[in-house]
Amino acid sequence: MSDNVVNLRSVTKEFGDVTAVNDADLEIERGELITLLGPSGCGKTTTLRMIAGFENPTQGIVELNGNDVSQVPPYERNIGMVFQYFALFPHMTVADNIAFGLKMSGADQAEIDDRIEEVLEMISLPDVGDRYPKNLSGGQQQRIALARSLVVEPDVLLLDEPLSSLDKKLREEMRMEIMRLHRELDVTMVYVTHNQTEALAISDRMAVMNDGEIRQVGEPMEVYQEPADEFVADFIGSANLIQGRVSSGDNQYEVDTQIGMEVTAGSETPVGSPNLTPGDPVTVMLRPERLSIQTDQTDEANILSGTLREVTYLGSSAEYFVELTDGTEMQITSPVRGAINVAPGDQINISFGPDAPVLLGG
Amino acid sequence: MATSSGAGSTVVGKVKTQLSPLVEPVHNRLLAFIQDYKDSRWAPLLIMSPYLIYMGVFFAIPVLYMFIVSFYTNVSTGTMEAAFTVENYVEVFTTSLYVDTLYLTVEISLISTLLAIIISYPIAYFIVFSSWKYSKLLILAAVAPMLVGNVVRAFGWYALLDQSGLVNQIINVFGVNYTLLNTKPGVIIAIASVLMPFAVLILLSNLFSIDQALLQAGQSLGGNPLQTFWYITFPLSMPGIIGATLISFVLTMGTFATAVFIGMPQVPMIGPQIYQAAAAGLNWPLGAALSFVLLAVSLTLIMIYGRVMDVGSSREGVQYSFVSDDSADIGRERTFALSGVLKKLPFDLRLFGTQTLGGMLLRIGLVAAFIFLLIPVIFAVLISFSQGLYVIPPETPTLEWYLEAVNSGRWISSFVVSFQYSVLATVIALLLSFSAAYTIGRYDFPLKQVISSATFLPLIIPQIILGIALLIFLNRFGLVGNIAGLSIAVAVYATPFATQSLLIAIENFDDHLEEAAQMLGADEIQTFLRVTVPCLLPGIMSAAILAFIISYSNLQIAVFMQGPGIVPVPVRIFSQMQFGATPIIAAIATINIAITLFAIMVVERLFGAAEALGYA
Repeated sequence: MSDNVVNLRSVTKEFGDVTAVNDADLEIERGELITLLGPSGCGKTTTLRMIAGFENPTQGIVELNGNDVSQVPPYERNIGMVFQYFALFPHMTVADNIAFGLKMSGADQAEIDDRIEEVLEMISLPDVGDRYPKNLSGGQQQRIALARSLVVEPDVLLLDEPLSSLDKKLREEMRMEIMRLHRELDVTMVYVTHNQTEALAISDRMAVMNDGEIRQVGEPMEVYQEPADEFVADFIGSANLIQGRVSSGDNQYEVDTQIGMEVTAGSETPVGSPNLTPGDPVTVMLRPERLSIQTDQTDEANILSGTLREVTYLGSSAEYFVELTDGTEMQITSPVRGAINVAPGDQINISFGPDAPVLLGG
Repeated sequence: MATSSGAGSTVVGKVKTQLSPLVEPVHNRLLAFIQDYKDSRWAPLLIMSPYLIYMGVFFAIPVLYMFIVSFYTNVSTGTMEAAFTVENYVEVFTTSLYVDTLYLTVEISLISTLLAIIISYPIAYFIVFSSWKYSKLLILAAVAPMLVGNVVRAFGWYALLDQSGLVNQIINVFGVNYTLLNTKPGVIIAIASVLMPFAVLILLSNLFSIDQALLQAGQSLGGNPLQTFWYITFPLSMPGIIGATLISFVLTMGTFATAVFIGMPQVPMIGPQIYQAAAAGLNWPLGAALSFVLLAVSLTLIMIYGRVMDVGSSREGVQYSFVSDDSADIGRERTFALSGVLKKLPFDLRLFGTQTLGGMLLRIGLVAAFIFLLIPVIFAVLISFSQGLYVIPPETPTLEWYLEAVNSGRWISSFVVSFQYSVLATVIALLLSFSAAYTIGRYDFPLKQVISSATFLPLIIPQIILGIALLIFLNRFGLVGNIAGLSIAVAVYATPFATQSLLIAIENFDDHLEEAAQMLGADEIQTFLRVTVPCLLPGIMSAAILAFIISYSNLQIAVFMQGPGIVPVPVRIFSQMQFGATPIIAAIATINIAITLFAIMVVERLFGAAEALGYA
């Protein structure tokens, strides 16, 4: 038997005419931190709410520890949830907030007191038990919300955009805190976010969603380097996408592109379409940091020429926007240190080796 | 901290809080019922059914029944016979008294409405836009007179406008001798003052919804304060002005206490005439016919007004009047075109600055407006400590009127009666308003907009009509002249206030709190009792207090539902006034004011009254 805490089997959720989640399959392993990542309206929150039990799937099965819980109400699932706006009970003290779940499960007062002390210690807020949530800062409130849902030892902790209502500095601090709790408690976490940087930083695995469908599930590095399709390539990080057709393919592919130039791509098997044959439509994906720019000739496998339109300095690196001869705009990121001296209007060559392009089946 | 459970922990069927064996079966049955129906299509109807049934039986049917009765024949006093005759309507339109009265009522209503809006606007404007620290407290000052009740204020104006009253004493100094009591101007002044709290409230809810960034945008585009007001604030507040006008007009058309005390018999308005026909003359079919003529005239004028002001915005106006919506959207489109217009304007008066003459004038006007609003109440209090009605200020403060009131068994019995039915009506109003507000606040269902607007109907139709309709209907069931009938009837009027107050609380309630509770193992019932209700408690409390005050101070319904030995306080004040004003009435009025202020202070202390009224 697999050690999956949550299994989604062909889950579909419809709201009237709208399909929020379409035939989604997802296995969540015990102890992992998986993010559901996608733009707003992609179905990630609905997926989370089906795991929680706030929505019942229209079709398909939600399994928890191997049991079908599709029709089980949320309060019988032993799941924890952390909300974007904390959802701390305003009429209760911090201690009463934390005690709520324990009381519901029939714990006695002595045990409850011990546990409250324990979790407040754990989140480094030992002295706030008697305070009311409104007297705490946003970061403190989110810590309390975490403590409140962890104290009942849930089988899985759901986090619904938990950092998006905090400011940037706090966000990073809380991100580290969540990662620490995940590591120390070994608790399974499902983390919903629309912020790809956050997802890349925090995830063991990530599930990228769009239009109600799970497009790709994988480790952050894998998803970034080998995106399954154009949507994933574009949503995670920046990507230059060039349409083309395979002209020859053996050990390495040659692609005739829309920009009128030929691109040589390496022998690595392109994700999503392992067997490309000449004539197949294909999208060439180039990450900006895999490209370099020159003003003179180089002997790299691929060279595209164009005009530099804009340079944006970002401190340690700079972004160059180059317009190719046919009007396509390319983005290149390179370290500022050792950068060549160019100005908008200059003629530029973009070069990259055969290992830089990723071919996405069309 | 223990680590999260390893493999194999059971999910379904956790140990729950132990319930007592007595409660458990009920709890489980109720829970099963809730789970079956909470997401069903019928859930909104089910939850709203107590409200819908009550309002159907005690509001819609009585009004319909009154319509039918208006075609009955009056046999002798107090008895009528089922028939279909238009003779009652013929009588209304052929009796010159009624026709003249109707004409006069429309005239007075139009003028006093206009006056009330003009005086109320600066008050509402100041409360919303002033940076004065205590400006929000002025909401209380503006609304308190409404809660004190029309009888008290009408009494105050009576004492002010009477031949020996303060107004006459003042103008006598200038050698003028003109008694405003029982004159048209006197009636208009008093009615305008009585209307103001309603107008201020409606204007407030509109002005608060204006995005203040729009005004800053206007100024940043070169508009001076007056231009910003004229081209941005004022157009954006039109829905509020329209709403306030409509409500004020309808209220005036049905004016009762003020019309009787200040106007009768020289300046007869239709409200007192309906009362005369139905309660004194005991001719219910005629009273019913008069009521519908009043309703028809009001509706016709409202429709004409709606046409003139553009139907769309008048509907919006009624919406805004009670449900503060986002009116800022209308404004956004207009702001873009502003910069050009603003620069072309010739005038540059800094009227709304503080250091200028204009600012001074505005402030003086504001104080005057507040005096106009509050003086009848203040006056009633002063009289209660005086030697007589016109010894103001009291030479040596006395408590003799209070002692006389307390020693009178009749006043004491009235207080007891008023408390009894007010408490019962509050309980009814609270249950009904929770049923309505919870459904409207939490569910989406067909006709939701219509139904939520319809919850205001008992406020919009003239109260005197509601009173007489309930009298005719409840009388069939022996529910007139007793506490039960009074409670049922007054609750119809108090419920919309409570509903509005609760709706604000429910709409501000964060649904995620319920989800958080369920995630922690609380079932639907536990979530409701431990999270939902406690979080809504401020709203529930203010709804209760509001419903109590409204029930307690009501005259126009209570006056029809009274009976031998069952005379509510406002009704006894009203009856005493028929025999002339006495300082005892002032003492009673002051006690009422004290009760009202105490209740408001409780709300304010508990949750902040501004918040309770929805202006957080």
